[in-house]
Amino acid sequence: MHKLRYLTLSAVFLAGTTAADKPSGAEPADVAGDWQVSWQGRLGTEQCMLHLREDGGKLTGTLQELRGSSSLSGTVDANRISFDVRFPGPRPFTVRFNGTAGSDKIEGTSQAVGVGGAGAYLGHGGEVVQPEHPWTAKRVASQAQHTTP
Amino acid sequence: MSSSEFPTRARQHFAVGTAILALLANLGTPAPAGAQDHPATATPIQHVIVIIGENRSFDHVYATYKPASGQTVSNLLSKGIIDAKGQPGSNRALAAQFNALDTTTYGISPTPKKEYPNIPPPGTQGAPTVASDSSPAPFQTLAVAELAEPDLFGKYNNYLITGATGLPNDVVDTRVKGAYDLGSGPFQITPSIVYDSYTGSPVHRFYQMWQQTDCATSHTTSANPSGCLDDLFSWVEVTIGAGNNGAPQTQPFTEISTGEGSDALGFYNVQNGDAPYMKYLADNYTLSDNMHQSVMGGTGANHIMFGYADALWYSDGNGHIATPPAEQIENPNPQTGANNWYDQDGYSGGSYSNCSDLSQPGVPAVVNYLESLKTPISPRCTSNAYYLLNNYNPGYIGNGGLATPYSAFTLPPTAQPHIGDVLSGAGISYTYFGEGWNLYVADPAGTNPYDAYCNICNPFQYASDIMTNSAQVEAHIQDTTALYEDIDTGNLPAVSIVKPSGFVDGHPASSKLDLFEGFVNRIVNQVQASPLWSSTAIFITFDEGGGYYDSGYIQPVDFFGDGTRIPLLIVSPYSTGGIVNHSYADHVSIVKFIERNWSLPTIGPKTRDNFRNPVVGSNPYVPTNSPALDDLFDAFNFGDPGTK
Repeated sequence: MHKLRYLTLSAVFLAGTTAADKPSGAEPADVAGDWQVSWQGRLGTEQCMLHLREDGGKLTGTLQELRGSSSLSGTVDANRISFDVRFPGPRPFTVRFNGTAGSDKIEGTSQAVGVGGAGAYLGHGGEVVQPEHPWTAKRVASQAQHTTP
Repeated sequence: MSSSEFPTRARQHFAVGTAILALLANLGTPAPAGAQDHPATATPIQHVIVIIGENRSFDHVYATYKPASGQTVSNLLSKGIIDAKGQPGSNRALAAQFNALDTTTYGISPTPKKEYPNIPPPGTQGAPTVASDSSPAPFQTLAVAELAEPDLFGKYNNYLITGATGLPNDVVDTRVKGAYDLGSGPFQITPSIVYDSYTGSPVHRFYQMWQQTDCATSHTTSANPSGCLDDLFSWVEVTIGAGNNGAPQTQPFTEISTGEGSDALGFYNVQNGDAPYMKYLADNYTLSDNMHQSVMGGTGANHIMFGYADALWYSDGNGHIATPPAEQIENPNPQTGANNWYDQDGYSGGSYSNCSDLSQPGVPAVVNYLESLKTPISPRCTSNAYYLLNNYNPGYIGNGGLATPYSAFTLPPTAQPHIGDVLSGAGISYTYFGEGWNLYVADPAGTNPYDAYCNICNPFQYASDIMTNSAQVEAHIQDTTALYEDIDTGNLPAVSIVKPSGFVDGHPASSKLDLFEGFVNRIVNQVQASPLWSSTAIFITFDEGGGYYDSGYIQPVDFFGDGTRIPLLIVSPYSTGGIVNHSYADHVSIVKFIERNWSLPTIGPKTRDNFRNPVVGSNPYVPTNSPALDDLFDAFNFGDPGTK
């Protein structure tokens, strides 16, 4: 398929995106650990598991959902959290999650980067569906070691 | 790729196996047709392809269409509502729009009315401001566009990156020349807005559409025995628009507060180069100028009527009638102090009505009208059933799991019979080809930005007998990649239902008509280049008119519709020559064609496919034996295969 040549192009483009934000200098919130995520999409709300590791304000980890486990990277600055999840596959894509973290709850919105879902995608009665998808996360008990030494 | 995972031949054989199972299960279906590749047909047509686009009324597309010599057409130009240049014509009053007052109880023909000197200016609604790869459509770069939308060929790909408005959402669409001075009726969208542009999307929900069409027995005449005047399109747009989820009006509330203005009154001009492929097909094949959306309302309900020849009701998920949550029941009665601002209506709000109960909000306005017609029309409502009138998710996700964990706004799984049951019972192969299906199966919540699959468009995704059996799903639901392979290999199912993705379905604001033309063009060209062409009929139509104005006759057939006219093109070797067919039809007419062609029973004893073919008097557009729906056999000349 002639479309395949665009895969590489897109992957390069997506790899160049970051979730960096201007740092506040404040101590980052402790977000390391496991989180139960409710992620609202165009058609409904998906439940997934978020595993975060934190090292000096830098985040790594995984998002586990129907498509499998996808790696992530980002930052936490004070209570502001931002990370990009890279979904692999024949047509890879990246979604940026921004949010505000509390001790056991995170709330925010997500939006695809590089290529996004139809920004003005309409419901089929004439209703507007917004491109930003809300997400919330609740901390759950974790068995894993979260903070890198 | 996808069809090689489950070869078409295997899918066709599955149809025969299903027929035998159906017989054993005593489902009331006829004896299977046997294991032959091509079960007997009443015509040379052994393959039906139905392509369903989104949201364009007949006059919106074919307002100025001039048919071949010897043919006539009913449109804005032929009626003198406009002239050939798209300017108001001598009979402009026929399409004049009015404002009205509805402040106490919902009515489908509210009064008093007063003609707009100028319709409210059209709005940008949700049409995209700029091209963006991160928030398409349109896309900013062709590479990303082609990755996201792989089904277009050639020049049509370029349309994926053009057409943004340059304006904010929900403001007056100042691209329209003289937006504040459009007179009281339809206006030509082009050339002030170029054809390849995104525009706002008019409301087209159930109770809104009954008001837009303004039907009343007091309006009836011999030429218009249903008394639908189609004169409240602007008013409904600017008073309630696409719904409110029960919220109060924003203040100040103006004619642009719903974001739409009078988008409904816009039309294209095929004589000036708009919709060139739609015109080409009409010029060379057969165009119906009396095809209708089968339900007043939007996408979900109309695709359901196509699949079931009926509306679906809320159930306990096991085939028993149940009552939906209170906040999901429609209440179009106006909120206190507001003019036509519904009490409960919106995408996540009301969507169900128990139309067997005259005490339910909204119901008596429609039922009393139907029953007061000179030839009373049965609402055809099952006792205590709450019918889905607007868009809610189907009961199942792609892997056969329940959809309710993903969304509360979900119609429970249904056991109501559908056209697939009838086809399987007779050993006739069929497949729903939904573009993006393969992505959607792993993405039921729609978080993948490439996933523009339309779940509410697939009638079989509501059905327990399909979705709880993985073999049935494999046999009858595929991505469009499988369609293209099936055409190439000559293994096309007898019946194919084809749905484009949200990027190319033609829906205003999120797609464009030229993108749908590209999607259709690929399929038509591929079939014509294959040996299948001699035995294939391609029906190209839309789910509904999208809330766009139309001047055609509306025949009420039950509580749910019909609604406004929509285009229907019939492309086959037996429907050539630029014929315009006037027989009264809706989506169920295509079901009737399939049933007659393969000698099948109706879906159920009371479904719409039981309606008779129309009998007409001097007016070919108006059945005198309502409710009546044509089976479209008269749109073909089976004795004379053309050369196109």
